Amino acid sequence: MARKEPLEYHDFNTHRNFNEIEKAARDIEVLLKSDYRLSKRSIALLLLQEDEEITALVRRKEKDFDTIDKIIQKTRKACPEPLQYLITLERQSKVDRILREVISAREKRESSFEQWLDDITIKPLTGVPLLFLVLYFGLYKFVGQFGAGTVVDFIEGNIFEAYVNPWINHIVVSLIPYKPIQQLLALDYGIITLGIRYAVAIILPIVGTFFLVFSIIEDSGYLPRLALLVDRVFKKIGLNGRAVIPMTLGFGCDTMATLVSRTLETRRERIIATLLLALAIPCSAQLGVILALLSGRPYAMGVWVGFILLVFLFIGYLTAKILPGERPSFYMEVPPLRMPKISNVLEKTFSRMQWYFLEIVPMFILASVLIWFGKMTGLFDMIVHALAPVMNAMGLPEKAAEAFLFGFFRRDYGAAGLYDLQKSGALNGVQMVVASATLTLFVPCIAQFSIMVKERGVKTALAIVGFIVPFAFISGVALNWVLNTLGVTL
Amino acid sequence: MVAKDSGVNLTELGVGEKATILRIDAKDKKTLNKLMALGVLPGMTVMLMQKFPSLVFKVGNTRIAADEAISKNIIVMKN
Repeated sequence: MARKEPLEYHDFNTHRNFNEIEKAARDIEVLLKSDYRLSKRSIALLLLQEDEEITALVRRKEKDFDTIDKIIQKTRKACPEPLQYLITLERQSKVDRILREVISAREKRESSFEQWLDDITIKPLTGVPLLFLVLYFGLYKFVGQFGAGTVVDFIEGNIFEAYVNPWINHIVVSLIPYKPIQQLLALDYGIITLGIRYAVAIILPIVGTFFLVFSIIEDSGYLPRLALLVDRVFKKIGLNGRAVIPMTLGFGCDTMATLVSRTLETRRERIIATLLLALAIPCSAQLGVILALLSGRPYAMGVWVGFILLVFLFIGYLTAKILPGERPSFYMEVPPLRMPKISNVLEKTFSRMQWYFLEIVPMFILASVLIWFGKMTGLFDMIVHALAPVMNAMGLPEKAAEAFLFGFFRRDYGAAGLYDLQKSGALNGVQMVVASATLTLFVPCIAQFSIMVKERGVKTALAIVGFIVPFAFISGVALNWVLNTLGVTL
Repeated sequence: MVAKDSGVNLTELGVGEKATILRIDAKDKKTLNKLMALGVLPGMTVMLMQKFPSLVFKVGNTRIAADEAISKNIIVMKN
Protein backbone atom coordinates (compact mmCIF):
# COMPACT_ATOMS: atom_id res chain seq x y z
CA MET A 1 0.00 0.00 0.00
CA ALA A 2 1.48 3.29 -1.09
CA ARG A 3 1.79 5.72 1.75
CA LYS A 4 1.15 9.29 0.79
CA GLU A 5 1.00 12.57 2.61
CA PRO A 6 -2.65 13.27 3.45
CA LEU A 7 -2.41 16.70 1.87
CA GLU A 8 0.31 17.81 -0.43
CA TYR A 9 1.33 20.87 1.44
CA HIS A 10 4.45 23.02 1.68
CA ASP A 11 4.66 24.77 4.98
CA PHE A 12 6.25 28.13 4.35
CA ASN A 13 3.83 30.47 6.01
CA THR A 14 4.07 29.99 9.74
CA HIS A 15 6.61 32.64 10.55
CA ARG A 16 4.69 35.50 8.92
CA ASN A 17 3.68 38.09 11.49
CA PHE A 18 2.08 35.48 13.61
CA ASN A 19 3.84 36.59 16.77
CA GLU A 20 2.18 39.95 16.46
CA ILE A 21 -1.23 38.42 16.02
CA GLU A 22 -0.61 36.03 18.89
CA LYS A 23 0.33 38.90 21.20
CA ALA A 24 -2.70 40.97 20.11
CA ALA A 25 -5.02 38.01 20.77
CA ARG A 26 -3.60 37.61 24.29
CA ASP A 27 -3.96 41.34 25.02
CA ILE A 28 -7.58 41.31 23.84
CA GLU A 29 -8.36 38.21 25.90
CA VAL A 30 -7.42 40.08 29.09
CA LEU A 31 -9.71 42.96 28.14
CA LEU A 32 -12.77 40.78 27.54
CA LYS A 33 -14.77 40.94 30.78
CA SER A 34 -18.20 39.56 29.79
CA ASP A 35 -19.26 35.99 29.31
CA TYR A 36 -19.54 34.83 25.67
CA ARG A 37 -20.05 31.06 25.89
CA LEU A 38 -17.20 30.73 23.38
CA SER A 39 -13.68 30.80 24.78
CA LYS A 40 -12.15 34.25 25.06
CA ARG A 41 -9.40 33.24 22.69
CA SER A 42 -11.92 32.39 19.99
CA ILE A 43 -13.64 35.74 20.50
CA ALA A 44 -10.30 37.55 20.31
CA LEU A 45 -9.36 35.77 17.07
CA LEU A 46 -12.76 36.46 15.54
CA LEU A 47 -12.39 40.14 16.45
CA LEU A 48 -9.02 40.25 14.72
CA GLN A 49 -10.61 38.63 11.66
CA GLU A 50 -13.22 41.40 11.58
CA ASP A 51 -16.17 39.09 12.07
CA GLU A 52 -19.13 41.48 11.88
CA GLU A 53 -21.45 39.67 14.24
CA ILE A 54 -18.87 39.19 16.99
CA THR A 55 -17.58 42.75 16.63
CA ALA A 56 -21.11 44.11 17.09
CA LEU A 57 -21.64 41.83 20.10
CA VAL A 58 -18.41 42.83 21.83
CA ARG A 59 -19.02 46.50 21.09
CA ARG A 60 -22.34 46.14 22.94
CA LYS A 61 -21.02 44.13 25.86
CA GLU A 62 -17.65 45.70 26.67
CA LYS A 63 -17.30 49.15 28.18
CA ASP A 64 -13.71 49.38 27.11
CA PHE A 65 -14.24 48.46 23.47
CA ASP A 66 -12.11 51.42 22.36
CA THR A 67 -8.95 49.88 23.80
CA ILE A 68 -9.74 46.57 22.11
CA ASP A 69 -10.37 48.37 18.84
CA LYS A 70 -7.02 50.16 19.12
CA ILE A 71 -5.20 46.84 19.47
CA ILE A 72 -7.01 45.50 16.39
CA GLN A 73 -6.18 48.56 14.31
CA LYS A 74 -2.54 48.52 15.41
CA THR A 75 -2.12 44.84 14.54
CA ARG A 76 -3.78 45.37 11.19
CA LYS A 77 -1.34 48.15 10.36
CA ALA A 78 1.64 46.05 11.40
CA CYS A 79 0.73 43.20 9.08
CA PRO A 80 1.11 43.51 5.31
CA GLU A 81 -1.76 41.14 4.56
CA PRO A 82 -5.36 40.92 5.86
CA LEU A 83 -5.47 39.36 9.32
CA GLN A 84 -8.09 36.85 8.31
CA TYR A 85 -5.77 35.54 5.62
CA LEU A 86 -2.86 35.19 8.05
CA ILE A 87 -4.95 33.52 10.74
CA THR A 88 -6.44 31.06 8.23
CA LEU A 89 -2.93 30.18 7.04
CA GLU A 90 -1.72 29.57 10.55
CA ARG A 91 -4.74 27.45 11.34
CA GLN A 92 -4.24 25.44 8.16
CA SER A 93 -0.62 24.69 8.94
CA LYS A 94 -1.56 23.58 12.50
CA VAL A 95 -4.26 21.32 11.06
CA ASP A 96 -1.80 19.90 8.61
CA ARG A 97 0.78 19.16 11.28
CA ILE A 98 -1.83 17.25 13.27
CA LEU A 99 -3.07 15.38 10.21
CA ARG A 100 0.41 14.28 9.27
CA GLU A 101 0.78 12.51 12.61
CA VAL A 102 -2.47 10.59 12.50
CA ILE A 103 -3.53 10.05 8.90
CA SER A 104 -2.13 8.09 6.04
CA ALA A 105 -3.82 8.35 2.68
CA ARG A 106 -4.25 5.56 0.23
CA GLU A 107 -4.20 6.25 -3.48
CA LYS A 108 -7.93 6.45 -4.17
CA ARG A 109 -9.20 4.15 -6.86
CA GLU A 110 -12.30 5.27 -8.66
CA SER A 111 -14.18 2.83 -10.81
CA SER A 112 -13.58 3.50 -14.48
CA PHE A 113 -17.30 4.08 -15.08
CA GLU A 114 -17.42 6.80 -12.41
CA GLN A 115 -14.31 8.37 -13.83
CA TRP A 116 -15.77 8.30 -17.32
CA LEU A 117 -19.09 9.83 -16.25
CA ASP A 118 -17.24 12.45 -14.28
CA ASP A 119 -15.17 13.34 -17.30
CA ILE A 120 -17.87 13.56 -19.96
CA THR A 121 -20.03 15.89 -17.87
CA ILE A 122 -17.24 18.46 -17.59
CA LYS A 123 -15.52 18.36 -20.98
CA PRO A 124 -17.23 20.84 -23.32
CA LEU A 125 -17.42 18.49 -26.32
CA THR A 126 -19.55 15.91 -24.49
CA GLY A 127 -20.75 18.09 -21.63
CA VAL A 128 -22.67 20.59 -23.75
CA PRO A 129 -24.82 18.01 -25.60
CA LEU A 130 -25.45 16.26 -22.26
CA LEU A 131 -26.48 19.59 -20.78
CA PHE A 132 -29.03 20.11 -23.52
CA LEU A 133 -30.39 16.61 -22.95
CA VAL A 134 -30.73 17.23 -19.21
CA LEU A 135 -32.45 20.58 -19.75
CA TYR A 136 -34.67 19.21 -22.51
CA PHE A 137 -35.89 16.12 -20.69
CA GLY A 138 -35.63 17.40 -17.13
CA LEU A 139 -37.05 20.89 -17.53
CA TYR A 140 -38.84 21.13 -20.87
CA LYS A 141 -40.33 17.66 -21.11
CA PHE A 142 -40.95 16.84 -17.46
CA VAL A 143 -41.67 20.26 -15.93
CA GLY A 144 -42.90 22.10 -19.01
CA GLN A 145 -44.99 19.43 -20.72
CA PHE A 146 -45.85 16.92 -18.00
CA GLY A 147 -46.10 19.30 -15.00
CA ALA A 148 -47.38 22.43 -16.71
CA GLY A 149 -49.41 20.49 -19.28
CA THR A 150 -50.76 17.09 -18.32
CA VAL A 151 -51.00 17.57 -14.56
CA VAL A 152 -52.31 21.14 -14.79
CA ASP A 153 -54.98 20.12 -17.30
CA PHE A 154 -56.07 17.28 -15.07
CA ILE A 155 -56.32 19.26 -11.82
CA GLU A 156 -57.82 22.31 -13.48
CA GLY A 157 -60.23 20.61 -15.88
CA ASN A 158 -61.19 17.41 -14.08
CA ILE A 159 -61.18 18.69 -10.52
CA PHE A 160 -61.73 22.44 -10.40
CA GLU A 161 -63.85 23.11 -13.45
CA ALA A 162 -65.82 19.90 -13.13
CA TYR A 163 -66.45 19.83 -9.37
CA VAL A 164 -64.98 22.59 -7.22
CA ASN A 165 -65.99 25.71 -9.15
CA PRO A 166 -69.65 24.74 -9.84
CA TRP A 167 -70.02 23.72 -6.20
CA ILE A 168 -68.47 26.97 -4.84
CA ASN A 169 -70.49 29.06 -7.31
CA HIS A 170 -73.68 27.35 -6.22
CA ILE A 171 -73.02 27.88 -2.51
CA VAL A 172 -71.96 31.52 -2.91
CA VAL A 173 -74.88 32.45 -5.17
CA SER A 174 -77.44 30.81 -2.92
CA LEU A 175 -76.04 32.25 0.32
CA ILE A 176 -75.12 35.80 -0.73
CA PRO A 177 -77.71 37.94 -2.50
CA TYR A 178 -75.34 40.72 -3.61
CA LYS A 179 -73.88 40.33 -7.08
CA PRO A 180 -70.62 42.29 -6.40
CA ILE A 181 -69.80 40.15 -3.36
CA GLN A 182 -70.64 36.99 -5.32
CA GLN A 183 -68.16 38.08 -7.96
CA LEU A 184 -65.49 38.86 -5.39
CA LEU A 185 -65.64 35.33 -3.98
CA ALA A 186 -66.65 33.15 -6.92
CA LEU A 187 -67.78 33.17 -10.56
CA ASP A 188 -65.33 34.21 -13.30
CA TYR A 189 -62.71 36.11 -11.31
CA GLY A 190 -63.42 35.22 -7.68
CA ILE A 191 -60.87 34.73 -4.94
CA ILE A 192 -61.71 31.03 -4.67
CA THR A 193 -62.59 30.23 -8.28
CA LEU A 194 -59.68 32.16 -9.80
CA GLY A 195 -57.07 32.88 -7.07
CA ILE A 196 -57.08 29.58 -5.21
CA ARG A 197 -57.65 27.61 -8.42
CA TYR A 198 -54.58 29.21 -9.98
CA ALA A 199 -52.41 28.55 -6.96
CA VAL A 200 -53.49 24.91 -6.58
CA ALA A 201 -54.18 23.84 -10.16
CA ILE A 202 -51.52 25.71 -12.11
CA ILE A 203 -48.68 26.76 -9.90
CA LEU A 204 -48.47 23.79 -7.56
CA PRO A 205 -47.91 21.12 -10.26
CA ILE A 206 -45.28 23.26 -12.02
CA VAL A 207 -43.51 24.00 -8.76
CA GLY A 208 -43.72 20.40 -7.61
CA THR A 209 -42.28 18.89 -10.78
CA PHE A 210 -39.60 21.58 -10.98
CA PHE A 211 -38.41 21.16 -7.42
CA LEU A 212 -38.29 17.40 -7.90
CA VAL A 213 -35.98 17.74 -10.93
CA PHE A 214 -33.97 20.48 -9.25
CA SER A 215 -33.44 18.42 -6.09
CA ILE A 216 -32.20 15.47 -8.19
CA ILE A 217 -29.81 17.70 -10.16
CA GLU A 218 -28.61 19.26 -6.92
CA ASP A 219 -28.22 16.00 -5.01
CA SER A 220 -26.37 14.22 -7.79
CA GLY A 221 -23.67 16.89 -7.89
CA TYR A 222 -24.52 17.83 -11.47
CA LEU A 223 -25.43 21.47 -10.83
CA PRO A 224 -21.87 22.90 -10.66
CA ARG A 225 -21.04 21.08 -13.92
CA LEU A 226 -24.00 22.70 -15.62
CA ALA A 227 -22.92 26.10 -14.33
CA LEU A 228 -19.26 25.79 -15.34
CA LEU A 229 -20.21 24.87 -18.89
CA VAL A 230 -22.42 27.92 -19.49
CA ASP A 231 -20.54 30.50 -17.43
CA ARG A 232 -18.73 32.04 -20.40
CA VAL A 233 -21.94 32.64 -22.34
CA PHE A 234 -23.79 34.02 -19.36
CA LYS A 235 -20.97 36.49 -18.60
CA LYS A 236 -21.80 38.23 -21.89
CA ILE A 237 -25.19 39.22 -20.55
CA GLY A 238 -23.91 40.24 -17.12
CA LEU A 239 -24.73 36.99 -15.32
CA ASN A 240 -22.64 34.06 -14.18
CA GLY A 241 -23.04 30.31 -14.69
CA ARG A 242 -25.18 29.89 -11.59
CA ALA A 243 -27.98 31.83 -13.34
CA VAL A 244 -28.61 28.86 -15.66
CA ILE A 245 -31.25 27.50 -13.30
CA PRO A 246 -33.52 30.55 -13.00
CA MET A 247 -33.14 31.36 -16.71
CA THR A 248 -34.11 27.87 -17.96
CA LEU A 249 -36.80 27.62 -15.35
CA GLY A 250 -38.38 30.73 -16.86
CA PHE A 251 -39.54 28.66 -19.83
CA GLY A 252 -41.67 26.72 -17.35
CA CYS A 253 -42.86 29.50 -15.08
CA ASP A 254 -41.39 33.01 -15.03
CA THR A 255 -42.96 33.73 -11.66
CA MET A 256 -41.07 30.95 -9.98
CA ALA A 257 -37.92 31.75 -11.91
CA THR A 258 -38.06 35.30 -10.57
CA LEU A 259 -38.37 33.90 -7.08
CA VAL A 260 -35.43 31.53 -7.62
CA SER A 261 -33.27 34.42 -8.89
CA ARG A 262 -32.79 35.36 -5.23
CA THR A 263 -30.09 32.68 -5.16
CA LEU A 264 -27.88 34.85 -7.40
CA GLU A 265 -25.01 36.47 -5.60
CA THR A 266 -25.19 40.18 -6.30
CA ARG A 267 -28.08 42.62 -6.51
CA ARG A 268 -26.92 43.56 -10.00
CA GLU A 269 -27.25 39.98 -11.23
CA ARG A 270 -30.66 39.61 -9.61
CA ILE A 271 -31.91 42.75 -11.40
CA ILE A 272 -30.57 41.63 -14.80
CA ALA A 273 -32.13 38.18 -14.38
CA THR A 274 -35.46 39.66 -13.28
CA LEU A 275 -35.54 42.01 -16.26
CA LEU A 276 -34.65 39.34 -18.82
CA LEU A 277 -37.19 36.90 -17.38
CA ALA A 278 -39.95 39.50 -17.50
CA LEU A 279 -39.01 40.73 -20.96
CA ALA A 280 -37.79 37.96 -23.19
CA ILE A 281 -38.38 34.52 -21.67
CA PRO A 282 -41.84 33.20 -22.61
CA CYS A 283 -43.34 30.94 -19.92
CA SER A 284 -44.98 27.59 -20.71
CA ALA A 285 -48.42 29.26 -20.87
CA GLN A 286 -47.26 31.78 -23.46
CA LEU A 287 -45.27 29.15 -25.35
CA GLY A 288 -48.38 26.97 -25.59
CA VAL A 289 -50.50 29.80 -26.99
CA ILE A 290 -47.86 31.05 -29.39
CA LEU A 291 -46.89 27.63 -30.71
CA ALA A 292 -50.56 26.90 -31.36
CA LEU A 293 -51.08 30.28 -32.98
CA LEU A 294 -48.10 30.01 -35.32
CA SER A 295 -48.32 26.28 -36.02
CA GLY A 296 -48.44 25.57 -39.73
CA ARG A 297 -46.52 28.77 -40.48
CA PRO A 298 -42.83 27.82 -40.10
CA TYR A 299 -41.57 31.17 -41.42
CA ALA A 300 -43.70 33.10 -38.96
CA MET A 301 -42.36 30.89 -36.19
CA GLY A 302 -38.81 31.55 -37.39
CA VAL A 303 -39.32 35.32 -37.36
CA TRP A 304 -40.78 35.16 -33.84
CA VAL A 305 -37.91 33.03 -32.43
CA GLY A 306 -35.26 35.17 -34.13
CA PHE A 307 -36.79 38.43 -32.95
CA ILE A 308 -37.12 37.35 -29.30
CA LEU A 309 -33.59 35.94 -29.28
CA LEU A 310 -32.27 39.20 -30.69
CA VAL A 311 -34.06 41.24 -28.02
CA PHE A 312 -32.81 38.88 -25.28
CA LEU A 313 -29.15 39.15 -26.29
CA PHE A 314 -29.29 42.86 -27.11
CA ILE A 315 -30.97 43.92 -23.86
CA GLY A 316 -28.82 41.51 -21.81
CA TYR A 317 -25.65 42.88 -23.37
CA LEU A 318 -26.80 46.47 -22.95
CA THR A 319 -27.85 46.05 -19.29
CA ALA A 320 -24.53 44.38 -18.52
CA LYS A 321 -22.75 47.40 -19.99
CA ILE A 322 -24.94 50.11 -18.43
CA LEU A 323 -25.80 48.81 -14.97
CA PRO A 324 -23.16 49.88 -12.45
CA GLY A 325 -21.67 47.51 -9.89
CA GLU A 326 -19.39 44.58 -9.50
CA ARG A 327 -18.87 42.28 -12.49
CA PRO A 328 -20.18 38.79 -11.89
CA SER A 329 -17.68 36.25 -10.69
CA PHE A 330 -17.96 32.49 -10.82
CA TYR A 331 -16.50 29.89 -8.51
CA MET A 332 -18.00 26.66 -7.26
CA GLU A 333 -16.89 23.43 -5.71
CA VAL A 334 -17.35 20.50 -8.10
CA PRO A 335 -18.24 17.44 -6.01
CA PRO A 336 -18.01 13.92 -7.43
CA LEU A 337 -21.21 12.64 -9.08
CA ARG A 338 -23.24 10.38 -6.87
CA MET A 339 -26.60 8.63 -6.91
CA PRO A 340 -29.19 10.96 -5.35
CA LYS A 341 -30.88 9.64 -2.20
CA ILE A 342 -34.63 9.36 -2.75
CA SER A 343 -35.52 10.30 0.83
CA ASN A 344 -33.37 13.44 0.56
CA VAL A 345 -34.89 14.43 -2.76
CA LEU A 346 -38.47 13.97 -1.56
CA GLU A 347 -37.89 15.82 1.69
CA LYS A 348 -36.34 18.79 -0.11
CA THR A 349 -39.08 18.82 -2.75
CA PHE A 350 -41.87 18.87 -0.18
CA SER A 351 -40.38 21.51 2.06
CA ARG A 352 -39.73 23.75 -0.96
CA MET A 353 -43.25 23.25 -2.30
CA GLN A 354 -44.67 24.20 1.06
CA TRP A 355 -42.47 27.29 1.29
CA TYR A 356 -43.39 28.37 -2.22
CA PHE A 357 -47.08 27.76 -1.77
CA LEU A 358 -47.22 29.95 1.32
CA GLU A 359 -45.54 32.77 -0.62
CA ILE A 360 -47.68 32.56 -3.73
CA VAL A 361 -51.24 32.16 -2.39
CA PRO A 362 -51.55 35.73 -1.04
CA MET A 363 -50.37 37.04 -4.46
CA PHE A 364 -53.12 35.20 -6.28
CA ILE A 365 -55.76 36.39 -3.85
CA LEU A 366 -54.55 39.95 -4.41
CA ALA A 367 -54.74 39.41 -8.19
CA SER A 368 -58.36 38.26 -7.99
CA VAL A 369 -59.27 41.32 -5.93
CA LEU A 370 -57.61 43.63 -8.46
CA ILE A 371 -59.42 42.04 -11.39
CA TRP A 372 -62.70 42.33 -9.51
CA PHE A 373 -61.96 46.00 -8.85
CA GLY A 374 -61.05 46.71 -12.49
CA LYS A 375 -64.21 45.05 -13.74
CA MET A 376 -66.52 46.69 -11.22
CA THR A 377 -65.25 50.22 -11.76
CA GLY A 378 -65.10 50.02 -15.54
CA LEU A 379 -61.36 50.70 -15.38
CA PHE A 380 -60.60 47.81 -17.73
CA ASP A 381 -62.92 49.12 -20.43
CA MET A 382 -61.19 52.48 -20.22
CA ILE A 383 -57.73 50.90 -20.61
CA VAL A 384 -58.82 48.78 -23.59
CA HIS A 385 -60.24 51.89 -25.19
CA ALA A 386 -57.07 53.90 -24.52
CA LEU A 387 -54.92 51.16 -26.09
CA ALA A 388 -56.75 51.35 -29.43
CA PRO A 389 -54.27 53.77 -31.10
CA VAL A 390 -51.34 51.58 -29.96
CA MET A 391 -52.99 48.52 -31.53
CA ASN A 392 -53.51 50.49 -34.73
CA ALA A 393 -49.84 51.47 -34.82
CA MET A 394 -48.90 47.79 -34.58
CA GLY A 395 -51.29 46.99 -37.39
CA LEU A 396 -53.56 44.98 -35.09
CA PRO A 397 -57.33 45.17 -34.66
CA GLU A 398 -58.49 47.14 -31.61
CA LYS A 399 -59.92 44.00 -30.05
CA ALA A 400 -56.35 42.69 -29.59
CA ALA A 401 -55.98 45.12 -26.65
CA GLU A 402 -58.26 42.87 -24.63
CA ALA A 403 -55.91 39.96 -25.15
CA PHE A 404 -53.00 41.98 -23.77
CA LEU A 405 -54.87 43.32 -20.76
CA PHE A 406 -56.61 40.11 -19.76
CA GLY A 407 -53.58 38.01 -20.59
CA PHE A 408 -51.84 39.93 -17.82
CA PHE A 409 -54.48 38.81 -15.33
CA ARG A 410 -55.59 35.50 -16.67
CA ARG A 411 -53.42 33.69 -19.18
CA ASP A 412 -56.09 31.46 -20.71
CA TYR A 413 -58.29 34.50 -21.28
CA GLY A 414 -55.59 36.37 -23.17
CA ALA A 415 -54.87 33.26 -25.18
CA ALA A 416 -58.51 32.70 -25.98
CA GLY A 417 -58.76 36.31 -27.12
CA LEU A 418 -56.03 35.83 -29.71
CA TYR A 419 -57.44 32.46 -30.77
CA ASP A 420 -60.84 33.97 -31.40
CA LEU A 421 -59.29 36.72 -33.49
CA GLN A 422 -57.30 34.20 -35.49
CA LYS A 423 -60.26 31.88 -36.02
CA SER A 424 -62.50 34.67 -37.23
CA GLY A 425 -59.80 35.33 -39.82
CA ALA A 426 -59.08 38.78 -38.42
CA LEU A 427 -55.30 38.20 -38.30
CA ASN A 428 -52.88 37.54 -41.14
CA GLY A 429 -49.41 36.02 -40.73
CA VAL A 430 -47.60 39.29 -40.10
CA GLN A 431 -50.20 40.38 -37.57
CA MET A 432 -49.89 37.09 -35.74
CA VAL A 433 -46.10 37.39 -35.50
CA VAL A 434 -46.40 40.99 -34.28
CA ALA A 435 -49.05 40.04 -31.70
CA SER A 436 -47.02 37.02 -30.51
CA ALA A 437 -43.76 38.97 -30.22
CA THR A 438 -45.40 41.82 -28.34
CA LEU A 439 -47.23 39.42 -26.02
CA THR A 440 -43.94 37.66 -25.26
CA LEU A 441 -42.10 40.87 -24.43
CA PHE A 442 -45.01 42.25 -22.40
CA VAL A 443 -45.03 41.48 -18.65
CA PRO A 444 -46.33 37.89 -18.60
CA CYS A 445 -48.75 37.86 -15.68
CA ILE A 446 -49.76 39.57 -12.49
CA ALA A 447 -48.27 36.84 -10.29
CA GLN A 448 -44.84 37.49 -11.79
CA PHE A 449 -45.26 41.22 -11.23
CA SER A 450 -46.22 40.62 -7.59
CA ILE A 451 -43.14 38.47 -7.07
CA MET A 452 -40.98 41.13 -8.72
CA VAL A 453 -42.30 43.67 -6.19
CA LYS A 454 -41.74 41.24 -3.35
CA GLU A 455 -38.23 40.20 -4.35
CA ARG A 456 -36.74 43.35 -5.88
CA GLY A 457 -38.78 46.06 -4.16
CA VAL A 458 -41.47 48.40 -5.48
CA LYS A 459 -39.08 50.89 -7.07
CA THR A 460 -37.08 48.36 -9.08
CA ALA A 461 -40.18 46.42 -10.12
CA LEU A 462 -41.92 49.59 -11.34
CA ALA A 463 -38.77 50.70 -13.17
CA ILE A 464 -38.57 47.32 -14.95
CA VAL A 465 -42.25 47.39 -15.92
CA GLY A 466 -41.96 51.06 -16.89
CA PHE A 467 -39.29 50.00 -19.34
CA ILE A 468 -40.94 46.81 -20.57
CA VAL A 469 -44.42 48.11 -21.42
CA PRO A 470 -43.38 50.88 -23.83
CA PHE A 471 -40.50 48.73 -25.12
CA ALA A 472 -42.87 45.86 -25.95
CA PHE A 473 -45.25 48.12 -27.87
CA ILE A 474 -42.49 50.05 -29.65
CA SER A 475 -40.90 46.72 -30.68
CA GLY A 476 -44.29 45.60 -31.99
CA VAL A 477 -44.67 48.78 -34.03
CA ALA A 478 -41.08 48.47 -35.34
CA LEU A 479 -41.47 44.80 -36.25
CA ASN A 480 -44.75 45.54 -38.04
CA TRP A 481 -43.12 48.40 -39.94
CA VAL A 482 -40.09 46.36 -40.99
CA LEU A 483 -42.14 43.37 -42.14
CA ASN A 484 -44.57 45.57 -44.07
CA THR A 485 -41.86 47.71 -45.62
CA LEU A 486 -40.04 44.61 -46.82
CA GLY A 487 -43.35 43.36 -48.16
CA VAL A 488 -43.10 40.11 -46.22
CA THR A 489 -46.10 37.83 -46.08
CA LEU A 490 -45.96 35.01 -43.54
CA MET B 1 10.74 32.36 2.01
CA VAL B 2 9.85 32.57 -1.63
CA ALA B 3 10.60 35.71 -3.54
CA LYS B 4 7.45 37.70 -4.33
CA ASP B 5 7.76 37.74 -8.10
CA SER B 6 8.81 34.19 -8.92
CA GLY B 7 5.30 32.89 -9.64
CA VAL B 8 2.87 32.63 -12.52
CA ASN B 9 -0.90 32.76 -12.20
CA LEU B 10 -3.05 29.67 -12.36
CA THR B 11 -4.35 30.35 -15.88
CA GLU B 12 -0.77 30.11 -17.20
CA LEU B 13 -0.43 26.45 -16.24
CA GLY B 14 -0.97 23.73 -18.80
CA VAL B 15 -3.73 21.14 -18.39
CA GLY B 16 -2.50 18.34 -16.12
CA GLU B 17 0.30 20.45 -14.68
CA LYS B 18 0.92 20.59 -10.92
CA ALA B 19 2.07 23.62 -8.97
CA THR B 20 2.32 24.98 -5.46
CA ILE B 21 0.20 27.95 -4.47
CA LEU B 22 2.43 30.86 -3.43
CA ARG B 23 -0.13 33.47 -2.54
CA ILE B 24 -3.54 34.87 -3.37
CA ASP B 25 -3.37 38.28 -5.00
CA ALA B 26 -6.99 39.26 -4.56
CA LYS B 27 -7.74 42.93 -4.97
CA ASP B 28 -10.79 42.74 -2.77
CA LYS B 29 -11.38 40.98 0.52
CA LYS B 30 -14.48 39.21 -0.80
CA THR B 31 -12.57 37.23 -3.44
CA LEU B 32 -9.91 36.37 -0.89
CA ASN B 33 -12.50 35.05 1.56
CA LYS B 34 -14.24 33.04 -1.17
CA LEU B 35 -11.03 31.32 -2.17
CA MET B 36 -9.99 30.66 1.41
CA ALA B 37 -13.40 29.17 2.17
CA LEU B 38 -12.85 26.70 -0.69
CA GLY B 39 -9.51 25.74 0.82
CA VAL B 40 -7.32 27.52 -1.72
CA LEU B 41 -4.37 28.45 0.51
CA PRO B 42 -0.67 29.12 0.01
CA GLY B 43 1.41 25.98 0.33
CA MET B 44 -1.27 23.72 -1.12
CA THR B 45 -0.59 21.78 -4.29
CA VAL B 46 -2.89 22.63 -7.16
CA MET B 47 -3.47 20.57 -10.30
CA LEU B 48 -5.09 22.19 -13.33
CA MET B 49 -7.58 19.79 -14.90
CA GLN B 50 -9.30 21.89 -17.53
CA LYS B 51 -9.15 25.40 -18.97
CA PHE B 52 -12.24 25.72 -21.12
CA PRO B 53 -15.07 26.77 -20.86
CA SER B 54 -14.21 27.41 -17.22
CA LEU B 55 -11.09 26.51 -15.27
CA VAL B 56 -11.30 23.35 -13.21
CA PHE B 57 -8.57 22.59 -10.70
CA LYS B 58 -7.92 20.37 -7.75
CA VAL B 59 -6.61 21.59 -4.42
CA GLY B 60 -6.16 18.95 -1.71
CA ASN B 61 -9.15 16.70 -2.13
CA THR B 62 -11.41 19.46 -3.45
CA ARG B 63 -12.19 20.09 -7.09
CA ILE B 64 -13.08 23.67 -7.93
CA ALA B 65 -14.50 25.41 -11.00
CA ALA B 66 -13.77 29.12 -11.38
CA ASP B 67 -13.70 31.79 -14.06
CA GLU B 68 -10.51 33.36 -15.41
CA ALA B 69 -10.79 36.56 -13.39
CA ILE B 70 -10.75 34.67 -10.11
CA SER B 71 -8.13 32.15 -11.22
CA LYS B 72 -5.73 34.95 -12.15
CA ASN B 73 -5.61 35.91 -8.47
CA ILE B 74 -4.06 32.57 -7.58
CA ILE B 75 -0.27 32.83 -7.90
CA VAL B 76 1.57 29.53 -8.17
CA MET B 77 5.07 28.11 -8.63
CA LYS B 78 5.41 25.21 -11.06
CA ASN B 79 6.63 22.00 -9.40
